[in-house]
Amino acid sequence: MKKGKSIILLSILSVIMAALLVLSFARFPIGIKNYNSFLGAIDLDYDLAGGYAYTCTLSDDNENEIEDTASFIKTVSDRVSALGYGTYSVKAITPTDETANDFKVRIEVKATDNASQDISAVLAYGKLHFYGGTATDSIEEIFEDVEAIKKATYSGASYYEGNAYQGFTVEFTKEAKSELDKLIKGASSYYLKITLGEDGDANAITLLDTTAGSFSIYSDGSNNNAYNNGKLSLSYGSDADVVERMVMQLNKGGIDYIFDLDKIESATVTAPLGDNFANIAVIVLAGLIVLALIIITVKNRGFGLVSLFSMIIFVTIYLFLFIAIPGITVNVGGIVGALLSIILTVFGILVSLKKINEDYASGKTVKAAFKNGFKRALVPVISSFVIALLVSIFTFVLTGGIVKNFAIALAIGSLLGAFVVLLIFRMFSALLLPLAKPERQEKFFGLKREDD
Amino acid sequence: MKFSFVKKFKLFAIIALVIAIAGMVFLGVWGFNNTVDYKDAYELQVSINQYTPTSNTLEVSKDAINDYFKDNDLNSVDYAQTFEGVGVTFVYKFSKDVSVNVETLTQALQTALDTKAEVKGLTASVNCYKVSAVGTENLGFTILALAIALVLFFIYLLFVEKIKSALTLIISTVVSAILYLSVICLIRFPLNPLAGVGLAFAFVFASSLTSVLVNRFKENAKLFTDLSAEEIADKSVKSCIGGFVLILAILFIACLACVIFGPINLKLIAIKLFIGALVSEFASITFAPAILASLGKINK
Repeated sequence: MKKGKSIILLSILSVIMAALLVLSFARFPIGIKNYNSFLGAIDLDYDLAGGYAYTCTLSDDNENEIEDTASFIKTVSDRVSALGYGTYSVKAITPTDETANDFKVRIEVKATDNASQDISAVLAYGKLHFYGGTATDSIEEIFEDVEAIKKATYSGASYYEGNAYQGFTVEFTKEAKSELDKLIKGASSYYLKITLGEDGDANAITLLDTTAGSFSIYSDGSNNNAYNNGKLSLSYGSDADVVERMVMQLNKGGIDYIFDLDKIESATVTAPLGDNFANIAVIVLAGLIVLALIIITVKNRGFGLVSLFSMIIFVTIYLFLFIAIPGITVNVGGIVGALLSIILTVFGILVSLKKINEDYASGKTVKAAFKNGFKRALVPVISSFVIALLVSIFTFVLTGGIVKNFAIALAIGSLLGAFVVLLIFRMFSALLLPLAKPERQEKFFGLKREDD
Repeated sequence: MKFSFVKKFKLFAIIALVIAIAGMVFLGVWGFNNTVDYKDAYELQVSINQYTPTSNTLEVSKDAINDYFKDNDLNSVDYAQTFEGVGVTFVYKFSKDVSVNVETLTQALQTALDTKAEVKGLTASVNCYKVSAVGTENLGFTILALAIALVLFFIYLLFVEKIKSALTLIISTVVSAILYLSVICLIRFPLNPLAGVGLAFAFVFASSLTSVLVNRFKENAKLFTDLSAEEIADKSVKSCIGGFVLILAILFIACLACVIFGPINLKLIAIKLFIGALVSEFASITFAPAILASLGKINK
């Protein structure tokens, strides 16, 4: 590449990088609003930003006390997790004063508009009851001795005439399907109602009621049955969180103990990891990158500049992706995923530099050393990112909470890191190469011959 | 450097075995250790009935509480703050029952509030609670995910590298994962938070280091055909160790910064991740060259 072309391209890229840096880290007013930077716009989870604490007392109406507290906490934790909360805290609290015997559960979650309704759904008492019939005013209990629901799933929003409808499916077990198919056989239509707690009970919650809107799940002769071959598919014109709560309760039923849900105490709670944890973690990550760049510059001079440009692209695009990809909330797992991605990217750069140095030391020209060095570095660098990607895929699929967030951050970081090391770093190396005169390239890039 | 990693393999293997066995014994006897948020603990909740951001309620109250703790030799392992309506509650967490004299602390706090004009008239109340919690991460599923990833990576390496490279990587990575958990159990370091994440971190780190080492061995085997597999393995480690140590040094400095300047949880996380990096480097540097040398001999 010619020197002039190289200077023009570097100038353009420098302007782009400067703009990305400003967008990533600077905060400034725009009109009446404030621009908060990519970093400032990242959504932090409960462990980093705090949230709400809900404390609820065990009702005196319970026949039995909670004997296995650990099991109870796990049950509640599963229910909170099923509602999509990444990090949270579930604790059982009893006074140390033996004269007081209140048993309380405290659930701390990220601050959202629906948190209090979510907690009420998590602590709702009762078993699932199913009622069905061929007329809206004559339904009776069905599935009394049968485990009815195999799986309920929230299938997302669809839009019709400008209105959003939240879809969900309920897959019945083999036994329930068999019973339901017998009930439906020969009927012109069939209605279903599902409640948490017995229908008519003061504390019962109606989860699904096709009788109320005269909506049949099955109509003989119709092509639009909601019920088909053991699966029920419906849409509600309500908020997504309402349907997600219902799906959670269909999957898990209610808990075995009654809590005073009308007397839930709520409070704002600070970040359990510490108020400044996120800020200090970001500073440490930045410091790590700066330290690595200093070491590369000391050892490999001009490559320090190449690494600087590459890491700017890496960091700014990484931050952008955290806010551009919908639904990402960063918790401590995400920070560790980012740390590992940075380490792998820096490691990839170091491996590439080592190969280039070796090729130059063995007698190749600078250009040939670049070309061959990058080629030799391809396999180990790609292998590092492949294992990172595989780990992130399977931990994403099989785990939840902090580990899932780690997986997301690592997946984004691995793909981006591979792109930066294999393409961006090479590109900047090629752009900087013509800037130094051929006789000075060795010194500029800190290369040495074997006999030096 | 005349030191031979391959020749010293027996020593390294014994060290690894001792650590692993000791770690498993500790695990069997005491189980995992967790921070106070993930196990049964005690909480002291100190509530002040009014709070405004402009007043120094927080500072006066915290000072009074800290004075009480100091006088009674109490060390809180963690601290949180909740805001209920117009009041504030300080939550101090203890890993054992500290038997705080509620009345004495309430009186001390009330006296402190009454002596300062800005917060005079506010009411303090103190409650002690026993708190039950469990570790929230499912380590089993994380281990399953890592195992599946490892199997698929093994298949990938069969195509890209040779079978000995793939085997070396599997063994080094598994050793690093076992050593990580063993060291954590041995030094009774809290497993939660970041139980699965710490393990995955060590796992990926070890795999990356070993894949670089393995690639180096392959290159050296082509270049130095007159050398034995042992000598090639040693040569490969020595040419990679500079970069490995550099990464570890950078991580050490970052960890040190967290320990010096960070809150307690950041300290714990930083140390845990550094342990993960350290055992990964140990597993890669000590096991990988020996396995490559042995497999190299077999193939000859």
